[in-house]
Amino acid sequence: MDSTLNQLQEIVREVFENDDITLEREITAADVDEWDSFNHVRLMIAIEDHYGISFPTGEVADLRDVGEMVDIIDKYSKG
Amino acid sequence: MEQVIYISLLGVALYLLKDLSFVRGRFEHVFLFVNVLFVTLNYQPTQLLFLGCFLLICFAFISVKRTFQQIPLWALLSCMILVFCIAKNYAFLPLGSLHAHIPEVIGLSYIIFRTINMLYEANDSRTQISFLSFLSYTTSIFTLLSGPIQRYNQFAADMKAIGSFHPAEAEAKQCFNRCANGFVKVILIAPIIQSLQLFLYSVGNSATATNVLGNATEAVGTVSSSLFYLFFLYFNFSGYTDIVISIARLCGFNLPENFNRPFSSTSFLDFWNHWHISLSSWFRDYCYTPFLMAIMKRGGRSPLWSPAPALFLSFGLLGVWHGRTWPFLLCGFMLAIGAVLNNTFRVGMKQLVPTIYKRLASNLAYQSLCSSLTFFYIALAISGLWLSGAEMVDRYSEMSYIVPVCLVLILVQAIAILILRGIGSVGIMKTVLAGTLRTFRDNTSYHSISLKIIILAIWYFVSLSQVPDFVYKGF
Repeated sequence: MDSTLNQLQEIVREVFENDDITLEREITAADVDEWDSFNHVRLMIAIEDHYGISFPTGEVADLRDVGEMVDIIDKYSKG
Repeated sequence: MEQVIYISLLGVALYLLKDLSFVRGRFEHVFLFVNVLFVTLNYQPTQLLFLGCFLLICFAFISVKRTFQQIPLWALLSCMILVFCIAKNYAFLPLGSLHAHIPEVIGLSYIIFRTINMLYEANDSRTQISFLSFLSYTTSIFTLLSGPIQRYNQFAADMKAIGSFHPAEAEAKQCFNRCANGFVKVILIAPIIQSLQLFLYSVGNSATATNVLGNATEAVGTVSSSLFYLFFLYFNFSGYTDIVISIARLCGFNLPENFNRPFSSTSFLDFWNHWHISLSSWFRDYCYTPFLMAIMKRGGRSPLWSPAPALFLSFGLLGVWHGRTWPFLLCGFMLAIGAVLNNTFRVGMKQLVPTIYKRLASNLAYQSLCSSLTFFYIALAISGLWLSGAEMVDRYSEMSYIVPVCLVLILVQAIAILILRGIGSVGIMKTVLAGTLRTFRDNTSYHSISLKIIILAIWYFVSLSQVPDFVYKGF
């Protein structure tokens, strides 16, 4: 799970073009300036491409919490 | 109005009875019983039958999706939306004489959001949705009339934890206080603002005003009353939201917030992050996000152009949802155009002149002008909520006066906002204002709450015919 958080942090830094972003499980979209609706979709696509997974429609939608995101990535990338 | 009083009383009854041995362990059944009781006492038999059929059809769609995962979500979604449009009796549908036989059922416009939410959840066959859960979620007395639009996951989580939920005394007092404040907004403040709004509207016909303003009188009356309608709507709707959120919280339900200081927002898109939040976030999550994702997966990655179709669709539907006739098609169109223009301007400026835009965006005068423009634009877009189509044509047809009057009033309001925000940020005024507001609004002593309720009860019975009903109940 720690490695998922680190990988997610790298993806977020790349998508949001900001190397200063540090992720913790408690962080939400409201805590990150660059995390608006448009960048949220870019982030979801980047995560899908990186892990080779496809989120069900609707699951992507209110996924604005880093902790939940890590859990969902682990759930879908395992199988 | 009476229905909200019943909801409050039923909610308090649930709060008091929750720990009885009979209720504990079967709360969801008791909750459903209360919901059914409320609906039975407030709906006509034909409305009840219609509501029942609508709910059965929605549950059928959800069950089909859960059982047959291979059926595409968009197909079932389209069918469900078509059924909703027929049930809501949209004027543009070619239903002929059927239009006259479809009863008006309050709550359908909010039930559809909850059922679509459940349809998305049913996309995962592992999700368990019992008929009991479906019914208690869709008919919840706390969200039936006018939302907030609660997500199923939150409802299910709250229901699971409800047995062990016991609000501390401080939290219970905050709930009662917020409920009392909600009634203050609805019974006291909103009617006063509505009186001002109606007065301004009548200015258009006033001989005295015509002597002063000449041919622009009617335009001034119409446009300024539109703005005051927006203020009235805020107190009317946020008051209702305060009541249901606080009573629901007493029982253990966490409803989403609908308002967060919307008149401090500085752009169209920012406004919708602070106004009717449960609605705008629903459209963001279930319309904008999937649509934008589909566009971006097909190559559209420009922050300037790619969001435009998704914004247009989402805000267009959001506007059309507010009503069944052509003023609401216009509303949807105006909101859609507003969203696209705002996004294009913002992203365009950031790309072309980032440093200048950053400095401009932090300038108080510029922010005030943007706020003023936003409030006027949205106020005009939602005119259909209080004007009929014929009245709108009559009052807004004189574009030669409407446009300059709008520009002048936008400027006047911008100056007023600048002064208010400037004063509000000054230390001593902030302390005085905040202190005064806090004393009235946030005092959670039983003495203070009881006093508010007594004053409101007296005021309500004295002005019974003059307390406007909840606007958003009529959708």
